[in-house]
This record gives sequence, C-alpha cells and structure tokens, in this order.
Amino acid sequence: MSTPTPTATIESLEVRVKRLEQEKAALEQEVRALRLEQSIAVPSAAGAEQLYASSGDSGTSDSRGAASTSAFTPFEKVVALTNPEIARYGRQLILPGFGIQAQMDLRNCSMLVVGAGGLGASCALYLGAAGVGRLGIVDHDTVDISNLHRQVIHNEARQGMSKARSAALSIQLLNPHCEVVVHELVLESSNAQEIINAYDIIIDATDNVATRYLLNDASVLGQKPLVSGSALRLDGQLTIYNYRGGPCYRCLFPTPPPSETVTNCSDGGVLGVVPGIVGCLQALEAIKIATGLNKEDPPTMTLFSANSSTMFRTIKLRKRKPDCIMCGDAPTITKLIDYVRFCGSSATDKTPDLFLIPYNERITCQEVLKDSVPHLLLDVREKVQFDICSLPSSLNIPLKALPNELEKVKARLEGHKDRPVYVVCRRGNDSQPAVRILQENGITTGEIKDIVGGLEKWSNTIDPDFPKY
Amino acid sequence: MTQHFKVLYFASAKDASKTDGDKFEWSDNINAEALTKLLLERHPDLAPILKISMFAVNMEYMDQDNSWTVQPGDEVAIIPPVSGG
Repeated sequence: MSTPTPTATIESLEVRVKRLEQEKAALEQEVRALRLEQSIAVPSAAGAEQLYASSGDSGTSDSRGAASTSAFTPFEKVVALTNPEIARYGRQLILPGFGIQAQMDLRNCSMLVVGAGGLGASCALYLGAAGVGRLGIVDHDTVDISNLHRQVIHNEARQGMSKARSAALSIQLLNPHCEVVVHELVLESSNAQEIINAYDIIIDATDNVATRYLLNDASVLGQKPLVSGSALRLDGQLTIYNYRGGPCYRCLFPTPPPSETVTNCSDGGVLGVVPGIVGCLQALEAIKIATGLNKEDPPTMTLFSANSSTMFRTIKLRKRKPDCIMCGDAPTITKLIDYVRFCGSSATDKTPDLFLIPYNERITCQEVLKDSVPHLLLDVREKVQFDICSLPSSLNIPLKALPNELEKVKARLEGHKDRPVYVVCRRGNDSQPAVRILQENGITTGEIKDIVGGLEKWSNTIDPDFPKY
Repeated sequence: MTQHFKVLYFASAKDASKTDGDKFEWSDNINAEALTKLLLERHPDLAPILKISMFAVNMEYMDQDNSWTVQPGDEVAIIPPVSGG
C-alpha cells in the first residue's frame, strides 16, 4: 500500500496518544499501590505514616492519593469510566438494574464516613471497593488492639496509628481509584458544617450520643441525607434520616438519653461482627441513595437483633414532624449548638473518671499491697467480667445487685465487725458509689475505701501479669 | 375470654426488663400514657429508658400523644436509641 493519507496519520496518532495516556495512568496507579504496600511492610506505624504521606506527593494530574487530597479541593466528575475502572467494576456493570449508569453515579458521588470504628470499618471498605469517587474518613482516635475484633479495616502493625489514616491506607490498597480524604479530628460545632457541606452523602458511624445529634443537625442544615447506624452488644439500628421528606434523628429521639443510661462498647461489650453487619447495611443504603436504587422506598428503621430468631425487623416511619425543632416547619435550631452540653456526655466513647469520693478517702494499689491488716476485698464488676480475672479471695457482688445483697457482705464480716472493706472495680468508677452504699448501711466499723484506678491500675503498677481487657 | 397484646423490648429496654418480650392483658383505652404505666408496674427499671424510647405498634412508628390505643393482639415495640459503634 502507498503512504497513508494525512487524515489517517493524524487519527492514528491521536489513538496512540490516548492509548499511551491510559497506559501511563494505569502504571501510575500500579506505582502508587506498590508504594502503599511498601509502606505497610514497614513495621513501625510512624514509619508507615511517613512513607504514606510522601507517596501522596508524587501525584500527577490524575493522582488520587489520600494524603494529598483535601475535602475542599473541587471534586472532579467524569463523563466516562477508564478501561481499568471498567475491568474492576465489571461484575457490577453487568448487574441488571445497576449497570454503567449506577456505576457512573457512584464514581461522581462523594461520601463522608464519620467514625473509622466497628461500623466504619466494613462500611468504608465496601464503599471504597464499590467505586465511590471520593470518600472522606473522620476519626480522631488511634488504632488499638482491643478494638481489632470489630475494626477490621485496621491491623496489628498499625497500633498507635491514626485510625482515619489507617482506614484510608486500607481503602487505597483495595482500590486506588477511590480518592480518600483523611480528616484526623474530633467533629464538633466549629468544624462540622464546612466538612459536611463538602460531601453528597453523610454516614454516621460514630460511637457517642453528642456526635449523633451534631451530625443530625449539620445534615439538616446542609440538606444532606444521613445514613445512620449504631451497634452495641448483640443489637444494631439502621435509619436514613433527613431524606426525601422522612424524619430527622430529633423527630424520633427528641430527648438525649441521660448519660447514666448510655453504654459504650468498652463497658457494655459488643460482638465484633454485629457492627460489621450494620456497617455493611449502611454502605448498601449509601450506594442506593447515590444511584437512585431506592426511589420508591418509604422511610424505615431496621432493627438487627443477632440473638433473636427474627434477626431483622423493619419499622415503618412517618414523614418528618412538622413541629420538630430541627427539621420542622418553624425550626428553633438554625445553627449548630454545644452538643456536649446538650447531651451531658462527651464527644468520644471514652469512659471519663468519676470523682465522687474525695481522694484522701480512697486507697491506692500500693497501699493495698503494703496493708498488713486483714480486710475484705469486694469486687463490684459484673459477673462476666469477674469470670475473666479477679484478685484472690475477693467477693464478687455487682454494683447493681449490691443494695439487695448486703447480707452477703455482712456474712463475710461475721465476727470481724471492725474489719476494713476495700472495694475494687475495673477502672475505679463503679467502686465509688459502692463505697457510699456500704457507708450508708453501716456495714463495718472499720474503714470503707475504694481502690483508685481499679484493676487496670493494679495491672499497670503492681502486677503486669494481671490481664487487662 | 381474656385478650392480650404483646410487648417487644429492644437494646437497653431488653437489658432493663431482662426479657425480649412479654404478654399483657388487654383492656379498653390503653393509650401511650396508660401503656407506660403498665410497663413500669411490671418493669420499674424501664423508667429512665421509656423517657427516651420510640414506640412502634405492629412494626409502625407511633407518636406518644395518646391519639391511638392498643388493640387486642397488637405487637408493641419499645425502641430506645443505640449509640455505640
């Protein structure tokens, strides 16, 4: 054949350039994935973080590395998927009722997962894997071994690393096409609105009451759907708030629970897979919102009871309440308030130290150890905790049962009415009201004291072999 | 014949009542207020939890405004908020 016509040459050059650009993008993605893998292989979390941060700097125009992205850099939408994306999402693309349009909707959607704990772990992994274009992760805490039974997005080697950063790493390793934005902070009234406004869908995967009300109010003010999940022990709840005329969190729960009725996972326990299941449901609902799969669904609350023969129940909800102070016709809350004060509880799930008994009326672990006077040691933890570990010859009566079981204490003091009683619990909180109960009932003429810091302190300062849980 | 209705307890309501559900004898005019009284007679520990709970009847949300009454055979659910994660 003779030489090609000029037009044909230009066309083939354009095709070639396009192909090379695609190859370049694919290779860059591979390089980023390899860098991330290398950073994970570094044993110290600090080292991993450093390498990870530097991997973001190598980004080119299409770099979607986590550390380099801010929620406030404009989110670039696309009109077509790349070939590597088509290859990755093929099983969703051929899914009837989903297909290319839904996949594009996901790619052009931004979501914010608040909390990289038990709920956020499964939720963020599935959203990242599914092809959400931009995923923000908020968490102020660090990876802790005692949470890994449910926070499966983190791992052993990342102990001490920021949870938001660790979650971003895991998502990037799973799917480098997902742009992850790290928010290492406590979400509060001063910063929440700006962050929430930067995303399309908000996912409440938090662990405390104050942040739940904050997220609700900020989502109503920012007009964002809020996919809310929660889990404790063997139970979970899932609701989409502030979506298509449905209720907000305050419509259903106008009064925050008094702090003494709120139990966190650390004190109440939680079976790891339970928040995992609720987190998966949150990811599913967020995907349905982004892709319009749930167009006709009325508002509902899904209740998950792991130990019931009916594991899932769906409660039909009403529309938003016209008299709701947040989303009603004449709202009285028009900007974010002080949620820690409103809820009377902190914006984390950490159990605060209680100061009911003056320090000089308490006893330290060292003093108990040195004490040569015979005494009665009363352990007021729940039986399930006492069964894990206990100090020798301690008597177990849980705080809740103590008022009705004082006879058991009296029986142990029979013939020794002046013997001191020392009360111990897990962290030195429950032991304080227990002391008051014993004092009010004049259980002994001897001293009644509680051990500062409880068994955790005992393990930290006296006996490192004593288990902590 | 005596007629009954059922009550289901979720999350912290289950802990406080120490059961996931029980039966009550039905009578006329059990509105939200009367229902609360009945529940507290049987489970006094529910007091702080009922104040913050949502009620559902036959899997449908109900306002706590006495605009409805429990019917024989109804299944009432006591749903307090869960906040852990």
